[in-house]
Amino acid sequence: MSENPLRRGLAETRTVGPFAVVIFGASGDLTKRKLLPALYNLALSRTLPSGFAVVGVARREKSSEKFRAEMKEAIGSFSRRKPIDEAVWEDFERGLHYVQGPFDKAETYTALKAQLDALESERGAKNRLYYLAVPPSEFGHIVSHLREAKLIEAPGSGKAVTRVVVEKPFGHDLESARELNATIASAFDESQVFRIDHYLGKETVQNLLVFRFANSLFEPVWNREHVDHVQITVAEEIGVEGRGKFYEEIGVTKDIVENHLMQLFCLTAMEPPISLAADAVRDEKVKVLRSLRPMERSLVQENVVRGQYARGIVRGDEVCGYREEPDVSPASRIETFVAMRMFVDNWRWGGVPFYVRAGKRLARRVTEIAVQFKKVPHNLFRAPDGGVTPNVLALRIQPDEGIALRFITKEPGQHTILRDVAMDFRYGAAFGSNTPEAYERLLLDAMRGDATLFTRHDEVEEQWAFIDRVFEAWRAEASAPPPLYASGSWGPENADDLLARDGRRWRKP
Amino acid sequence: MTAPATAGKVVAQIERELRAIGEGRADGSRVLSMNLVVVAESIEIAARYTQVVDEVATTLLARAIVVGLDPAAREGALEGSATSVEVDKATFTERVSLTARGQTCLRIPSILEALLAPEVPIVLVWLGRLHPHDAVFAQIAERADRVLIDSEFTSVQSLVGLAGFAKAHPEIPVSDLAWTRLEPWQELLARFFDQPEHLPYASFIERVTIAQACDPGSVVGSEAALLVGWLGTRLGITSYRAGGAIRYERPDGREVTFEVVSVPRPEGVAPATVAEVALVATRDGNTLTGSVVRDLASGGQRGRTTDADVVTWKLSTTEGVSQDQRVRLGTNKAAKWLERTLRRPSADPSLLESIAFAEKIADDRVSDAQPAHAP
Repeated sequence: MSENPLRRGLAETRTVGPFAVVIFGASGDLTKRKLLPALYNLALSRTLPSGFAVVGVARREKSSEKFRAEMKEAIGSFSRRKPIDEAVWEDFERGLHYVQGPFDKAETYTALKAQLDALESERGAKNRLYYLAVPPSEFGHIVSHLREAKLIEAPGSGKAVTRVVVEKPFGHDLESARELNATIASAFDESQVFRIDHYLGKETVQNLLVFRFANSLFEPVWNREHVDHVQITVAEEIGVEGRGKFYEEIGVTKDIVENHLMQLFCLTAMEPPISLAADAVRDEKVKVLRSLRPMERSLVQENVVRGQYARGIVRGDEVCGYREEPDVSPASRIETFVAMRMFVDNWRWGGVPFYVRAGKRLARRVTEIAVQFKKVPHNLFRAPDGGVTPNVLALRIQPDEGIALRFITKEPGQHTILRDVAMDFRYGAAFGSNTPEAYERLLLDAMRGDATLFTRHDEVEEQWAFIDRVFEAWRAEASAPPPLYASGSWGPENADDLLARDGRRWRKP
Repeated sequence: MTAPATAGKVVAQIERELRAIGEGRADGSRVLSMNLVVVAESIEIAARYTQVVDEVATTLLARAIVVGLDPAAREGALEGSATSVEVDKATFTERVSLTARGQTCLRIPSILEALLAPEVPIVLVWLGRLHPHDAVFAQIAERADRVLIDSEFTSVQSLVGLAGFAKAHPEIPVSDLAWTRLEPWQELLARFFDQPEHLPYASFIERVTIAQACDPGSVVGSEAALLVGWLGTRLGITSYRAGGAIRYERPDGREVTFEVVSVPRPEGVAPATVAEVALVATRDGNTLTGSVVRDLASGGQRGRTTDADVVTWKLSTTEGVSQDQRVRLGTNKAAKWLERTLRRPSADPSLLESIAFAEKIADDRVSDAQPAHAP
């Protein structure tokens, strides 16, 4: 018998084996706010097996009891389902342990091995998922010590399964991304590596694939024949929120565009994959990234706009400028806003501009993909502004996740008066708002070995290859700082010029 | 005294009310994904189920039509009204409530036809005993895109009727809310064989004991019968009657014991609720014992969490494995079960296979034996 007969016909045929999830960086915010609440919610929905354990590893001295108490408090604050279910928690906390030690010392891994061996014999948690919730500078130590401590099983060894989840930022340029890939590849096979981009775990992002490839209505018009242009916006109201030091090293292009925004672009522009298998989807994403017209240095000035937020008013409150933020240089040249015009040089999208923008302290928080269709070829109707506005399909990622289709109707009455209306589908209204968090889906997929929603090494490198050219051009520019924009606006004025030159304008989503 | 309104007048009045709801909510959007038609065998059941329907209609964006029947009434009569149901500040949907008495019950299919929202599928939820040749049921079900029952409140015979309807109308998927409630049990039972080292035991199950919360001597309930059917069909087990007793055989010709036994039913627990499932498998001299034991009426956090009873899952083998886990079963709210059933894939061949297996124990009574206990 090769398959479990009792799994036949069940909704969930992909099971999670007995796993120990080892979190490096267990004292950090990510563990408290996202990882442990996600794992607890998986336990609550009966998705975790009995042989499940979590081992937190961090430098801070603390006992497993204290770690459990801290995690319980964190889950109480950040879980989407409250209050804590004591019966489920009692069972869950039996598998929670803590190992203290620096990541660059062999003794830490000796202690970790002892803990994992104990969990394997006590709870049967023989498979391991290492979660690197630490800065990339720590990856090298951790990976090499795991290998030396013989805590990694090769795939296909027939023994336990070992996988590693890597948090972003995955490098700070192409060269560093390649170095990181090489570091990880020195110990793990690519099939064991899960590079997480939590955007891909969002229901609405996954719905992009369903929307495009499960509806026959849209795919036939999803091309240069019918699409005028595409706008992708990732706008935040917040500033750097005390992370000035981090932001001074990174900026919005590396923080948002290189990963989240490029992934949204890939899912919007890629060709249909031959299946939903991880590599089939990722092959298509890599293909479309390779089809991006390289942003040669000479093209950057006319296609890329950056900016930095100044004082302004957001949600009615006065806020400071970026250079007034703690730990930010008063002469900082870091960009907090970027807008780009990109072209995809392939059969489907030839000549169709993709306008993308991301920024902090913008007018409102919104992430959306808007596909603007071409105008009708001949206008039968006279409208006050002399034309008929084109149809727009807006895929809203957050907040108010949903899909809106804007089209023209006739106002009731004796005269032919045209009215722009929106057919609005809201995810929350249709399916309820208590949907699983992105990390729940992604952790579960990593344990199941499904890499569809994770980025492959070549995807990451292609993203950096595109972005690196922009930075090369910026570095070569005179030392002028990015233009300022008022907090609470939609970015610097020259971002509007980017579209105005093409006779278009940004949406105000 | 005014003469009762004709059915046509009631329908016209409901149509006016529906229009008024739309016009009165010019600020909001009416969104519909289905017609959710609930027909109850009594007016009282329809009234009780209305709250459930309202909750589901707002999460699944359905035009709900709740019909209470009183076919035994002497005089034929129809009463009805339409109300808007708020989804959120900007979205609403509608519920139509109908009460039919006497001969008017026969006109319900025609009345529904006039009140269905166009272009969206029709789901019929039939609350009551199901006779596949019942004229009202047959006409509405044949018009529907999907038919649901809740066999917990009827009997295994209703499931057999449902399977008969499904056989005659393969294009109309059927579901059972009791079947949906078994989903966590199926998932937990499947876990016994998920690990490669435990998988071979699945072919060597010797005994399955299902305990249901009921009085001794009660009839086997639909949930327990469906579990027997599901396990039997998944494991390739066949059954036959010999001298009145039912016997079960594994594919290798060895006998398997299936028992449905009773445990006391605490107050507040639905009759014939599944309380425990235990199985024993022996292979090459080693034994795997698995059990899922429900802590009946432990879902005491009602109103605080949506989850209900806690169960303890245990697995042990004579090779030294001993694992256990405490988890919660699904929700304890009727609306959640209906919603979950509506969200499941509409066609589920394993339900019909399980009903065919369970039919053989439709009139059997629970055994007097004691329930198996956790290892």
